[in-house]
Amino acid sequence: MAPAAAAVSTGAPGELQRAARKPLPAKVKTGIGILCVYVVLGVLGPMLLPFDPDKTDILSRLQAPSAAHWLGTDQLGRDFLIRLLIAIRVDLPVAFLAAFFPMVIGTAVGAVAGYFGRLPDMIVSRAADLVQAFPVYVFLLVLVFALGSGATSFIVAATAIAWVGYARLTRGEVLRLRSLEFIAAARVTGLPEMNILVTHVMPNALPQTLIYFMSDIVLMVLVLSSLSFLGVGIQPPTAEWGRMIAEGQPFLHSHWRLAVMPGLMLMVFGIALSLIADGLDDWYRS
Amino acid sequence: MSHAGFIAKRLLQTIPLMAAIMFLVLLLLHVIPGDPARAIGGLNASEEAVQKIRVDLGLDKSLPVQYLTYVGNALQGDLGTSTRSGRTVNSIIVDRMAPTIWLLVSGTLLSVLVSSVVSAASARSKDSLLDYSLIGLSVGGISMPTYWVGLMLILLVALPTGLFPISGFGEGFAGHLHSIVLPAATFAIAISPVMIRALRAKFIGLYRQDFVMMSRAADLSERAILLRHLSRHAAIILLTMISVQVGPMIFVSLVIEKTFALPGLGQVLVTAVSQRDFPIIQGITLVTAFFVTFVHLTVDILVSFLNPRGGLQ
Repeated sequence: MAPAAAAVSTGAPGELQRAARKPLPAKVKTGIGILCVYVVLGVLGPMLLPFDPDKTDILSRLQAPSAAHWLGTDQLGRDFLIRLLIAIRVDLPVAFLAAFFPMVIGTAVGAVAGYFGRLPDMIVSRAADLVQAFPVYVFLLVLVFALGSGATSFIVAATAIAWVGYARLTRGEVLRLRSLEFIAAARVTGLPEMNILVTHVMPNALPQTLIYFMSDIVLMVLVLSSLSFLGVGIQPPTAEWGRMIAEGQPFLHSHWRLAVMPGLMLMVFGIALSLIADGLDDWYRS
Repeated sequence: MSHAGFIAKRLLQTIPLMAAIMFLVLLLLHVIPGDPARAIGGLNASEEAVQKIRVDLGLDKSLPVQYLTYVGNALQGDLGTSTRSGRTVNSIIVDRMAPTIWLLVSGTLLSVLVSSVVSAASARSKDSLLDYSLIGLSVGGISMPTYWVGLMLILLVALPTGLFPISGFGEGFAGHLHSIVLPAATFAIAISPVMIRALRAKFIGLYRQDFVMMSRAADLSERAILLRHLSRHAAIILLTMISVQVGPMIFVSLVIEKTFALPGLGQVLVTAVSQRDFPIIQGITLVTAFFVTFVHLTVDILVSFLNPRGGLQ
């Protein structure tokens, strides 16, 4: 793993090297296993099924599961299984990117604020206060609407908002690390400050960021699907779990699988990432 | 610093914050790609109609003028007029806020109740089967989409038993209460897990402390220890969690309103979004942002009273 390797090479305090030698906890392995299943299903599943996920066929709507349609068809006669699987190609990458860009920006901003203090710190802290004063997801919803519904708008709006969490986290970690002896030692050697920050401070601040990133992906996939459920996120006919749940709601009484299954896909994905985050947390702490 | 001084300082801090919030809400109009007036009017709108939207929203003026006008109007309680219905945004918000407030209040009370009981039980028997299953359940709770939880409650509770309405807000107090049960339960399932985590950690820490040992040695019952000594600490955590979670809570209630067809502000917002009715969207964003600021402020002040040793900043 990159951050751990970097830490080893810089001779930072022992926590990381020790962690790197221990085997990964079962929680992390389980979580990664589930994620791999999702990726394989998302990549291969739609290729193997002989259906067009967006082609409607009103005559064969709401069919029960059969040999041809393993999970039946939806309210527009589309094969339900292929839509459930092809949605992986939307929900996973969009949620990943909507957490990834804030991580990159927030971590950089928080590191600079925490390490250099003074004006950069003040600007970042005030901006963070402002974003935090908003009901963030309502703001996200409105921002996505203003930018025009769709995956790109969602990622842009999420980045504009979610960087704050990463900035706060990194700032705190950097403040803590900066006061430790090995950083003072690096200073004494006369290394440039930026160099110390990048090669000595950050590798030790990143594990916490990585754990936060995992739970942030869960949050983002839930927010994305919520927005789609409300009609603001991913637009039809693209298959997306939140949208599919909204479309299945009128048939809850007669065809419950339409609303239940996309929710299960979301939940298992969320649990997988929570397991990874939890397991990594234990791993770094122990 | 005295309490009065702390409160005064905290109040003063909210003024620039509110000014900045209003600026961001105004800017929402300007992040629309291309010509906002054209985007709001739609592609088929005539040039005159688009021009009228431009003038109505003040888009023909410079940004500082727009801002000052917006702040001036908002301070007088004027949030503009719906571009669709022609009604004032104020009257729409006042008309439709009852279900949202019901949901927020009942959902928060239920979350506080559930998380207090669960976290106390879980911390008392740390690392037991009960503890692990409660933690497991809360991980599951965090990973489930809120609206889906609502639908599952409809599918597994409301439809088989027929005890609860699955949509609408009912008539009168009893009707409201009856129709808010499942939405509030959904709310609690979404919000409690985070509270449980924070509270459980706090309780575990507290149970290890000397004063709890002393109380046990003095033969105080576990219940008395919990009520007399731990409740104040728990209250501080709960208030702080409410403050941290108020943004997500508002979002969650908007989504729940859609799930249970509660005619609250969430439904107004969703409709306004589909009709591109910008004054309503701005109005609701502003009102919710002010509400969040108000909750943060109130909680800070309450916590300063509960926790005099914590130091006032």
